Amino acid sequence: MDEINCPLCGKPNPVENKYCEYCLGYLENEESSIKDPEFSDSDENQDGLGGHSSEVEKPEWLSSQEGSISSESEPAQDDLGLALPAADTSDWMPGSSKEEPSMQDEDPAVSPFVGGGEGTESGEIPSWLNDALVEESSSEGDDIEDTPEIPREQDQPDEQEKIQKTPGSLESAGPLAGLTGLLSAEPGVARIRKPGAYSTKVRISENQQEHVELLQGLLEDEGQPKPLPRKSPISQQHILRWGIAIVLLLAIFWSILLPNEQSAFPVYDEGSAELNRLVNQLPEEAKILVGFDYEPGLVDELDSAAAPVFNHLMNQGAVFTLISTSPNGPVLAERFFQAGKLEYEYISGLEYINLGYIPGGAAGLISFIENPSGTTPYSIDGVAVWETETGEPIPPVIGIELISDYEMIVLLVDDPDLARIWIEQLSPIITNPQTLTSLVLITSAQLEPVVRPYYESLPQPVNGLVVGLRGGASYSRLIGGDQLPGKFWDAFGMGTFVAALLILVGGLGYYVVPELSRTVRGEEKVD
Amino acid sequence: MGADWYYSIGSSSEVIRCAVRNPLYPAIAIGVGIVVLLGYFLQIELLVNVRIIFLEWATILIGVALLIGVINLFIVHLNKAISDHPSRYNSIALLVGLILTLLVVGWFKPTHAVSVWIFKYIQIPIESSLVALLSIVLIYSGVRLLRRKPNLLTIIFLATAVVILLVSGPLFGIEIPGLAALRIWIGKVPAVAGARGILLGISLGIIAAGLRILMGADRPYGEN
Repeated sequence: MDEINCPLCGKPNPVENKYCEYCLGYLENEESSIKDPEFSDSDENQDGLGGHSSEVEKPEWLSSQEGSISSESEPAQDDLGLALPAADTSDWMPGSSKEEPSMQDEDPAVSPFVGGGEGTESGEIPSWLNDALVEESSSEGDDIEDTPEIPREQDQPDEQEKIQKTPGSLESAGPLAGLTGLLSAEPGVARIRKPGAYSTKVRISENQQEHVELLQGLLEDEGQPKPLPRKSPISQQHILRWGIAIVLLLAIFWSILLPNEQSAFPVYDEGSAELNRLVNQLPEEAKILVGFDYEPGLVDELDSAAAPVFNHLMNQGAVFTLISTSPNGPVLAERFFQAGKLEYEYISGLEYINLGYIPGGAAGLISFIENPSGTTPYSIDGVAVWETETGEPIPPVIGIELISDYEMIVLLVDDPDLARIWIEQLSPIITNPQTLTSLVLITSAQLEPVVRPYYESLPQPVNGLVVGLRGGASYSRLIGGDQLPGKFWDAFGMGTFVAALLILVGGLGYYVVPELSRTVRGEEKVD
Repeated sequence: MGADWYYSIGSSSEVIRCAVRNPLYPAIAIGVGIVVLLGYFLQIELLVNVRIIFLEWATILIGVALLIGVINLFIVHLNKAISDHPSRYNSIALLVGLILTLLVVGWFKPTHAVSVWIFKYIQIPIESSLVALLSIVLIYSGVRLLRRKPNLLTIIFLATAVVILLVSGPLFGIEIPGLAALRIWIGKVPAVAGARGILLGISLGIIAAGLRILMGADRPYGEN
């Protein structure tokens, strides 16, 4: 005996049954639906739940519905009243016929089972089951129709349909493999689909594509470094700088290589004259404290200014104690006495002593001024200065206990701060009427405005002043003889003259030439 | 020791942490400052002696700081020299110079002719060359000063520079009437007036800074 499985509950039923004996579900007989000419698409399969023959007696309500449906099945009209061909709707609507409208157009509350078809033979269907069946059938239909057209494997739908259509068949795959009578899953969930193949290209028009390419080109150009306009390796400024240097060097070399009669030294300089007077008044073997506080870059200017003064002091038989508050000072001092620039050769330890470097700036200097022996007990060579093995100090510091025991303090300085510290810390001693110590400064020319106020004030914290090469030359003139400033005086004069000339001519040229050209342009415009 | 002290105020459930600066540093600085300052005004032997001791300590400490600076310089450039830094050759040159000078001066003593030779023929020419370059740059700047809209001050500045330069040298034995007098006047009146103003400003600044340190308002000794 042939049996057919119920698609709802999966239980076997005799093949002649239209409805399931257990769940009253419609038993879909594929063979009969395909082979039996009585079951046409238009009649039986429209609702998906089975067909009902035209021979079955229809209830009144159904007849009235059919009447209305037949009138509705006439060619549809659009909003403007134009007739639309019936084929248009039947093509895309699955299961629809040309003769009869689809069940989807009908009222879903109206059940096709009620009062009609084979259902009446098996018994009356309860209303709850009727509702459930209608909902299920409609939802299945919706799911299928709503599914977008996505490319899928050809085998997959057939298999799915087979599983759906034969719910009682043996499960062949998955965790439930080998079981029969399983309910099929929801079609939308159970179907295994390949992801849709979407194009990565943006669908844009040709005009938009042109704009995109234009924008892309602009952005790419911005990202690429553009080479700067090449500057000429020799600019106008380079030429001017080189020109100044060459003119200056030629002028100086000319005065050195072609010596003429030496120009006269300055006649009189107040500061130098005052220093000369002080040196002349010094006693024999006067103790002189010398501070070397300048940088090596200005060594020639300071040497030239200081050499005549030291020659004069040496001539007077003075002895020196050298000290510095800058690390370069001790070596500068040693070099000054060893360089052969002086008329006399002094011996270290006998006629001069180098006490080295006092760290601490102003604090160190105050400490030295107040307590020279305690601050610098040893010389730069490591010799005990203030108390030798014999118990006596070395000759240059014999009789020195305080800073005021020195007859003169000579300061060679090029830094305004250092000059100020020295002057201010020594000022109480120098300006004290009871002390005979004098402070004289030998400075670079750039420092003159800073130290001159001290020299000009009363009482004088600075008693003598030699400024730069000019001051040294002036002092040389006072003491006579062939002094160091004479070697540089002419070249120095030529250099300063050419520098002044360059500034004057170049400055005027830069000012006058543009003004003239501007005036000429203005006149041309007027014409 | 340098950290701030924290005092808790309030009950345990609501504690306000109040940072109180370490009072030790200001106390030392203010105390030493007052002692040194009073040592200038009051000629009390004890005060003067204490002041001298403080100053000697300061001298020694700054000397040690200089030594530490040299060691730090050595270490920094040593690290640079052994790294792949592009300027490591400069550091190597510095280290070689430093070590060689230390060896020579340490062996021969600073006043020896060899030590003086290094100073005389390496350091002095380099620094003198830089000063010579500075003179060219200054002349160049002076030449270009009138290029852009010269005003009265620019012209005065340039005229002063030209006058001082011309009179500083012998000027081929030529004496321009009034020029030497003008140079002396510039040196004695405007230059001295300006310098005095600057010196007064510096003095007032130093007094103010000293008072602030003595009052504890400024703490330039490392405390934040």
